[in-house]
Order: sequence, then structure tokens, then C-alpha cells
Amino acid sequence: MSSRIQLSRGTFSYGEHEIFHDLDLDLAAGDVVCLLGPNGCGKTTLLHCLSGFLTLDRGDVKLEGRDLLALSETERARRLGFVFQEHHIHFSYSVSQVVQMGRAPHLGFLSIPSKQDMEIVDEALETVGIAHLQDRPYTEISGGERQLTLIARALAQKPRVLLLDEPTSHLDFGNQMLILATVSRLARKSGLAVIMTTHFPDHALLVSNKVALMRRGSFAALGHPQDVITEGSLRTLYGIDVHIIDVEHEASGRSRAVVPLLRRATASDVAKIKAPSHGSAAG
Amino acid sequence: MARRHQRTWLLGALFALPLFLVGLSFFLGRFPISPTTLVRVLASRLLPIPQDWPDTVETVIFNIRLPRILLALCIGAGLSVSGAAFQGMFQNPLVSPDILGVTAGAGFGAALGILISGSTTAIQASAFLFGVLAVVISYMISRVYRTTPTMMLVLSGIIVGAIFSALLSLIKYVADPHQKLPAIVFWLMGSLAAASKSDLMTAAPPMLIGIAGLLLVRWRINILSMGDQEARSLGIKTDRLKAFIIFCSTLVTASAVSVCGIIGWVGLVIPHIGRMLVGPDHKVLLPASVALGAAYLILIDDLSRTLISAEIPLGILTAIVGAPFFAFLVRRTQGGRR
Repeated sequence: MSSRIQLSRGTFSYGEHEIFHDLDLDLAAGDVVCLLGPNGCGKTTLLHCLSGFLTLDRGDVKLEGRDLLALSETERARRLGFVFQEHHIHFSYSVSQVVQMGRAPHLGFLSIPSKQDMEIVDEALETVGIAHLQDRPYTEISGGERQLTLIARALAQKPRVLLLDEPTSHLDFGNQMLILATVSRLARKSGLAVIMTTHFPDHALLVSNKVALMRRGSFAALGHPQDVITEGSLRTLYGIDVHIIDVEHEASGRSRAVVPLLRRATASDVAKIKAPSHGSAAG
Repeated sequence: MARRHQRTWLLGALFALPLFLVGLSFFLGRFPISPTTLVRVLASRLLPIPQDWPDTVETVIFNIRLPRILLALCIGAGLSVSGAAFQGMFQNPLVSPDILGVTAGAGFGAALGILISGSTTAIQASAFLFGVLAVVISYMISRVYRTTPTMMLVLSGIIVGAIFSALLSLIKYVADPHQKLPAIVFWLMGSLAAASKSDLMTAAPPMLIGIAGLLLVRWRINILSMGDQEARSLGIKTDRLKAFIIFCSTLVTASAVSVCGIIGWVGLVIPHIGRMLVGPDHKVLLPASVALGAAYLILIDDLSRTLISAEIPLGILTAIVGAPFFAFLVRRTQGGRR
């Protein structure tokens, strides 16, 4: 199968401070890759390098075989959609107006969305199931609905690759599953290649067919979630003890769940958590 | 669909408003003109109508009232549309077109022109050039690593504005207190009392170009208002778009200030009224601001020449009317975000 997005020997540093080195990642159509790792391990920075906001120091990113840096911003935006973490919005645009912005890479400098563009917008709203919200102000809908709006906007770009930065953070349980179900459906039905960062190993087990565990600037493991997400690997990654259990269920078959165990943190544990939880590069 | 219908109707009404006020404004003033005479005089330019009115009527209509009304229309439209574009670009509804120091620069330029020459052409040219210069300096200070972060633009605008205000004070301080100083002070208050045909000819073309430019990129301002990074992820060349918006807006504001002095509040207040009427979408907000701004400044100028027997400077009225109205608006719209 041909590669949608391919990272080879990716290395990036902020000045002297190296964030990651020699990372390799390759996604085909329909792949969903979850990036797991502690706060500040560079997950978001990696996404920014994959999208072209940041430039790798070494290595390269190929988008459908073409060098990412050789593409203009507009050409990139036609192939790659990026859904940011919770963001500030200063004007109360309607949901439909926000999704319309996704058409920008397909429009000339002086154009405004045409009737065809509006059809694509409506289609994107349908796909994520928020057509009924289209006239509501974006500032007055729930967090889950906003996240769906941003996914719809990315879909309106008609991308081949979708990058999502912690799409489930700040959302309630039901909305988390709604977003995950949407992402999974998009990858299966539209053949999108999806890379998402998350703090929940369970989410990776639910939707991804590949997981990368990111630790100290490299992938500690990369592979099928069932193989990669183990009691041992999570202990190393997060410094906590977990049980991994398999559950049989009549309707949905087998599923695997991660059960974290609470134990008293020792002084050496506290010393290990050195990265600030809200640092600028925190992932 | 019904909603879109309603909006078309509303926009139609918005554009009818300045046209109505233009018509009305011809009759205001010390020299009485009847409606029939007005129509006949205006039509005589296009149709062969024999002249049965005194030459004075023709002079009043074409050399005094028409240029003044049209200038008020252009300036009101221009300042408002620049304000709306800047508020979107800076992601802040409390921004006005002079945030990059254009009015401070133009004020200094005009004062310098008054000090060393006093001819209208010199004053206007100097005001325009220093207005543009102030923005160019702000823009250059804000360039870091080949990008223009919005916060840097705001800060450098404040710095440049402060420098030009200080230089303006210096000129006032050294100016002859009997002739030059009053001229500077009156100029700074802003007025269209001396608006002439040649003012209209010099200021209107650059203003119209700037307004047209902003209207052409109006939809992209929506995307710019989501922040640099998000706009870039949507394929927008943010630096190029910002530079274009600053260029158009500066063309408009510097031209406006150079012919009529400093007129504040229009560019801040009108976009808020627009947002209240048509919503935040810049695709509709910018045309609405053009119409509202034009109507507003024509109305204020009508007040300035009719309220009392002497003229009230325009800048004073826009602040006296605009500021309390703005207070009312921001209370209603909770900071202008809805």
C-alpha cells in the first residue's frame, strides 16, 4: 500500500534542547496512529513537525511521496488537516462559518466560498453529525461539539492525512467516545490516515491500529496496540503500576482495558515528574 | 434560507441609508436650495436643461456641498471598514484603525506642514507621508524571524504612536502661538468645513482603492481572526495577508486624516454596530461597516454644521456622540464578542 505520510529519521531541537531524534513513522490510508507519552515528551512538537509548522533539524517528512517542505502552505493544507487543542476564539462565528474556513486552501486569494464549497461544508457537517448545529454560535456550543466542528473544518479541507492534538482532552466520557468513534469511522470509511496524541492508553486500544510510545526523545515502542500497550511498557512510560485486563462482552466481543493502580508516590517518583504539566511544548 | 433572505433585506436597507442621507444633506446649510432646483442642477450635468438658477446655487452645490458630503461618505466608510478589518486581524474588538500609529504620524506631519509652509497641499502631503511612515516603522519593529506576530504589532504601534505624539507636542511648543499654534490645534480637531473639490480628488481615489482591497479579502479575515497558527494550517499565508490589510487600511486612514484631520471613534464604534446587526462574519460585516460608517459620518457632519451657528469640529462630535454610544454598546454586547 502506498504511504500517506512518512517520517524518516526525524530529529528536532529547540536550540540546545533536543526534543526527539531519529523517529520513523509511516502511515497508509486508513491507519490510525496514537502517540502516547508523558507530559512534555514532545508529542505536540512532533505533530507540528509533521504539519510543517516547525522544520525538522534532520530527517524529512513525505506527504504522499512529496517532500513536505517543497509544498507551499496552501498545497499542504489541501492534503493535511490539523485539529488543535482547545483554542481561544474571539468572535462568535456560527458553526457553519467556522467549517467554511476549511475551504480556504482551495480558494484563490480574493475568492469567497462558492455554492459548491457550501455543499462540501454541509457534507462535512453531516459526516461528523452536527448538521443541526450549523447556525449556532461556535462560542455557545459544548466542548465536544466544538471538537466535532474543528474536525468538520479539517474534513472540508478534503485532506488525505488528519492530525489531531489531544482531541479528547477536556471532554466528558460520552463526548470522548463520540470523538473516538468519529475518528475511527473517518479512517475506515474515507481512508484518511490519522495521527492523534492522547493521554489515555485505553483510547489507543479502542481506535488505533498502531501505537507509538514516546519517551526521552524516541519511540520506546511502535506497533500494534495489543503488543505495545503492556503493563511493563506503561510502567516505564508513566512510572505507575497498571493492570491490563481483557473483557469478554456478548455484543462487542473482546476488549482490553487498562486499570491504573493508586499507590503512594515515593520521593524518587516525584523527582521523575520534572516536566511542568502546562509547559509550552507539553504534549 | 429565510435567514439569508432577511440578511439581504437588511443589507439593502443599510446601503439605502447613506444614499438617503446624501440626498438630505444637500439641503442643509445657510444657503437655501429647493428640492426641484437641486434635481435640476444635478441633472443639468447630464441632460440639456437650460440654466434658470443663479450661478451661486451651482457653486454651493458642486463646489461646497457635494465635495463635503462625498468626502464624509468616503472617510466614514473607509475608517469603519479599516476598523472592522483591524479588529478581525488583531483578534480584538477594541482595536481601532490608528493602532499602528497612523493618526499620530499624520498629526505630526500636518503640524510640521503648518509650521514650515502652511499651504494646503504641503500640509496634506506631509500628513499623508508621516502617517504612512509611522505604520512602516511599526511594521518593521514588529518583524521578528521573518514573521509579524500580532502582539509585536500592537506593542510597536504603541511605541511609534508615543514617539510621534511627543514630536507633535514639540512642534506645538515651538510654534508661533498667535497663528501657527491655533492652526495646528484646529487641524487636529478634525473638520470637513474646508472640504473642497481638490480635496475630494486627491483623497478619494486612494481611499476607494484601500476600501476595495479590504472588501476583496474580507472572507479571509475570518480565518486570520482564528490566530496565526490556525490560519497557517488552513493554508493562509498570514504574513502576506496581514501586510496587505495593513497596506489597504493605511492608505485609507492616512488619506482621510490628511484631508480632514483626526476623526476618532468612527473606526472603533461602527464595526460594533455592524456586528450587532449582521453578526461577526467579516464577509458581511465589512460591507455593512462601509454603509454604516458612510451614513454615520454624513450624519455627524450634518450635525456639525447645523447644531450651532458656528461649525463644531468633527473630531469633537465623533467623540462626544461615539464614546457614550460605545459604552452603551459594549455593555449590551459584553465586550463586543457577541
